[in-house]
Amino acid sequence: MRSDAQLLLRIADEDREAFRLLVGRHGDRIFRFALSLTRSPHLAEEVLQETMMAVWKGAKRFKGRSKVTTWLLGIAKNQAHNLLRREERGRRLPEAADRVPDPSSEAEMSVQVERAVAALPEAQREVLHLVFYENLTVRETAELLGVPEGTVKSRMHHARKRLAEELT
Amino acid sequence: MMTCGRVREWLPWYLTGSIDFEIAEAIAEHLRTCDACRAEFTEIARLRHRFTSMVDAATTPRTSTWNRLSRRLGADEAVYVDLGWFLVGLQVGIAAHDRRGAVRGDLRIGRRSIRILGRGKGA
Repeated sequence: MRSDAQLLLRIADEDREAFRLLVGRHGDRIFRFALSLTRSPHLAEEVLQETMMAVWKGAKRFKGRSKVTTWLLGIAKNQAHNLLRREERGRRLPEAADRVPDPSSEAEMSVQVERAVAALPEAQREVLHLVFYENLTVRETAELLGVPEGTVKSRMHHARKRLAEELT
Repeated sequence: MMTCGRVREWLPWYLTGSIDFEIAEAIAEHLRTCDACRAEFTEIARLRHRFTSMVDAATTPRTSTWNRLSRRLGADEAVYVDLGWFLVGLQVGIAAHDRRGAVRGDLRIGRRSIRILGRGKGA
């Protein structure tokens, strides 16, 4: 099986099969990260599309200084930020509170978490996702977001504090 | 010995295992004797479980991502006829393009594309 880095080399040479494999391997991961940032499946799909098109056009720019997954998530973050800025100028973003509550307690709990996470500032939501879901180190998170390591820890601390207040 | 404040700032990464071994050792040592930090650690573990469950439960793309991307990559193709596989590892197809009124056609063999109609070279 080809590694992600090998696939990127082939994508740089416009190999569509390598591109299809990379999309299959990382599509869900990018979509879930985008969903954490945008809170909208429709916008998350758009972020995924734009991220993968950016990879197709810019695979040559991967220099192997980070893991491919970190590089992909970095592109997705930029695409999500651009899209969110555009959406903010246009229409209202979806709120978790707009969802119809499910009567089962587990689903209700999930809605509570969604609401609490949705209420966090975007910068805290992305750190939460990268650390809790992608298991990135402090350094990897800092590099991906282009902020100092201390900022990552501080955003994580504030996100946890706010969630603890909302969920207790 | 690490202080409670320093231990707590590292706890999320201690939980995910995304941390240097030396720091993890020092935190483990601290947690053995500090009830307050152990309680904080349990709280973070619960929070992470709820967060990852929420993300896992999210719907994945409804539309076929690859089909949409594929359409975008081949946006300049007016027609592509896949003639199938006649040798192992060799795919043959014909693509017709219409750019600014000038029609051209390519014969595709695997990843190679040979111009059979119109000017210029295939990819």
